[in-house]
Amino acid sequence: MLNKTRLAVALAAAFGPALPAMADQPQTLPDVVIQDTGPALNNAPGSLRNEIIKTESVDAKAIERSNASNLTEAVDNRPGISIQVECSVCNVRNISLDNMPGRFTTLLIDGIPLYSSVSSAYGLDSVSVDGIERIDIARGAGASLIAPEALAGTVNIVTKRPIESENIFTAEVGEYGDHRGSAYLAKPFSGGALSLTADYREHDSVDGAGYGISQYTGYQRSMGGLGYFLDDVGGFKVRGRIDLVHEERGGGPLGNDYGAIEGDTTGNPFNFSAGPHGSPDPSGWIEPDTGTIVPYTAGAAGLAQIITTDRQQGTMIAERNLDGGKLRLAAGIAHHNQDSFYGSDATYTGDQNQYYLQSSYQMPLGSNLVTLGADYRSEDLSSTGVTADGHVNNGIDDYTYRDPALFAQLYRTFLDNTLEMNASVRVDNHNVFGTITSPRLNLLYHHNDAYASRLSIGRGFRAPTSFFEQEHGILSDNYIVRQIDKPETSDNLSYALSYSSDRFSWVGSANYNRIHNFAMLIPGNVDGSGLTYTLFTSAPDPVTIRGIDWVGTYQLTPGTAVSLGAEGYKYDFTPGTLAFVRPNERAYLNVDSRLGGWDLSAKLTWTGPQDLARFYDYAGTQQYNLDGTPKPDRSPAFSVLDVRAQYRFNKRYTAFFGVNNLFDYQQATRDSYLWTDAAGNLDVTHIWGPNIGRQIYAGIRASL
Amino acid sequence: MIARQLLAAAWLVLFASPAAAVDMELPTVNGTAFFRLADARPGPVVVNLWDTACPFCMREMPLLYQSAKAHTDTLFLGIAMGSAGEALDYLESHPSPYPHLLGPRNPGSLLRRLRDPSGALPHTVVLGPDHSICTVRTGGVDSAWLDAAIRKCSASH
Repeated sequence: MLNKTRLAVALAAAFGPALPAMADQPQTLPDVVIQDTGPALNNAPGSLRNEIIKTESVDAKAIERSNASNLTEAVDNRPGISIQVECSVCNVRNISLDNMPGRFTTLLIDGIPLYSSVSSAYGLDSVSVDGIERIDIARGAGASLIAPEALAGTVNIVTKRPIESENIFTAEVGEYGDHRGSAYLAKPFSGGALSLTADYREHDSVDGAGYGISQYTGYQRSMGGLGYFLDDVGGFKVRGRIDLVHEERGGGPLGNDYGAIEGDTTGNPFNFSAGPHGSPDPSGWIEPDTGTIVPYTAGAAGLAQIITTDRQQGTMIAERNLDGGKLRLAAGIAHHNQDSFYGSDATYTGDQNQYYLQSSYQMPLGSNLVTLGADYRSEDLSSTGVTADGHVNNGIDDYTYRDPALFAQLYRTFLDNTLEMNASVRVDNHNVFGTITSPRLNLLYHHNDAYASRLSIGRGFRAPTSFFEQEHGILSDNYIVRQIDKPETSDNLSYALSYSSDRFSWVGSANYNRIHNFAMLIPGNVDGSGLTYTLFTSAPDPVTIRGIDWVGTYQLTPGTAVSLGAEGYKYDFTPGTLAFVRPNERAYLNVDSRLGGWDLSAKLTWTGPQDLARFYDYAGTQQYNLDGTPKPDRSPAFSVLDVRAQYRFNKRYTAFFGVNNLFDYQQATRDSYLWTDAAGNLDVTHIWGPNIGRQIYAGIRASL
Repeated sequence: MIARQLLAAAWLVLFASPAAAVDMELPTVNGTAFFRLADARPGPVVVNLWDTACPFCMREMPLLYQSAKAHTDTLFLGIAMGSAGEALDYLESHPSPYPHLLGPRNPGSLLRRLRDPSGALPHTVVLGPDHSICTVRTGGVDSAWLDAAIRKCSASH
């Protein structure tokens, strides 16, 4: 039988990250008053949230320790979680879970899916971590009932509800023109609370090898947000947030005088002789087939990528108790605009609108907790563009998706609550891909107070999108031929065993992910009229990624904790499907120490060799250095160490100082990001290591 | 139905923890030492889980302070489940008559041992003289409940 507390927990557990905030709301029972804060401290590597689905959390303290100002910086370098940079000039960053492609990770804002492949390309760098309580990361399909496209898992940002007035200001300066200022203002009032966040950060573009071509993209980024919480609106508890983002980023030529860069279209301002295996001639590079020099004459603009992003989004969640159950209504709206200049390729403007509506009702039914719900998702992309040779290809990657869905979920416990089960099914009626059914099953078994096992089996689907950032070659083509009639689907199985005691906790997991109908965009085809087009199709063979990982934290002394982690992966894929290189092994060592007013932390990440020849498909297209020699088949292993010290003077003032990449390990000084094919065509996507070297920063935080 | 009950009973026999003395080893909030409950003197213990982010915890704290001063033969222990810095700030401005520990980085095991698997706060556990769990309260306490619980648990064996 479910008692009241159990029911409160079950409400959260049954939904998992899909409706995560249920666990965060005060639960009012007739005889006692309870606030379920969620165990606030389970943020150490090796800790899981108390949920049936394996969920790791990065809380505000851990975010502060990583000195992150945005989502991608906050979640990087944890077992099974990494940030993948997919372009050395524009620094598109994806969050990769279980080393799956970033498009299979779904970002949720308080449980609401409002990010697509369009908004994730540059948008993840503009997801603020100011004013949030934590980031929940659930790996594996079936992680979310309302985001079936999360074939690799979900990342859910949970907004902090203010419970006291706070005015927190942070100022930071660092090398490479890194300046940041942020503010978090919070005010609770009778019947609710408000929070305001503002964040500005700028950073120079950085070239570590002397080409005059950046590996780290510069930017100026402004983010603002309003969080609102109303405890009783016609019986509903309402909360939500509004976010505004404006970002300009520029890579390729150094500097941020973007007007001058776009206007410089002749000659060669770069030094192609710099760096490892540099060209014998600074004004161009060797064409491997002939051994002759390919001169570069397109000016600063030729290698420039300048992208302006504007985003506005709003979410609202309303919940109330009704007839012994809980009614939940949720809505989200987002407008995302990307205005891009790709010097040698094209200009491109993408405009996207997304809408989301959800209604669900959760009720006890005998010994079960049952949820029935419906949601509706709408996603449009409308683009305009001009190719480098002046051809207008407006709307080349446009798409319109409408996806109404029904879902049902059953949660119950067995064996005196030691075994918890959550089974669900979701049926989508997609306007392009038809009816799709996604089942999932999650089990949590508490062996005893210390050990627990979690088993998840799930299937998800993702409607592939034609957005050009997945294949820049689209920009040079005239149209896209869609030979794709099936969504990408996944089979996922994962098992995790966790242990926790007062001083030691660890979790080990094994994950199996198989993607069917892996979507591919193949540009450069020529039709009968001589026009080039991109083929949008599915890979005939599935992509399979298997992984195991283990991470644990030991409280060595009263103030010092040491964390160790390791992961290993195996990939089964047809070359050309997984387009960016991934490691087979990674290992992690973290030390966090509290000593009086000092907070010290060190984070070491070791990445094993990576199979460049296989992932970059050398068999299909051999990659060459600028001196005409072949690129290496494997990358070397490398380590990155970040250290940070923070001193708390008093309740009001804290100062911090840190060094990222203390060993100053950079890929660019060992193996250039630039490469050519046999015909001497230049590209910027030979990426396997850190794109910025040692960086010192310092700052102060005031709580007034 | 019978088969299910038999299975559940067998499970309990095989895996459920018997009523046993509760132990814990946690750092003090200021991070200077570990505190191990097994090393404390025998006698009743009031364990209160709290967090500065929990208004109901803050509301009942003065009552716990008062009760600790009144029951000198009972060990009171606070366990701060939030950030050490914020807990220290609170304890500096509200000096406590009893020690406060910092919850573990992964509190799951402790919470289950203290019969608060959901992590709901505030949560108060009163241990008997042998440090086995005597009574538990999830949610705010009042002085009547606290006095009665200490009386009952001081006498229990």
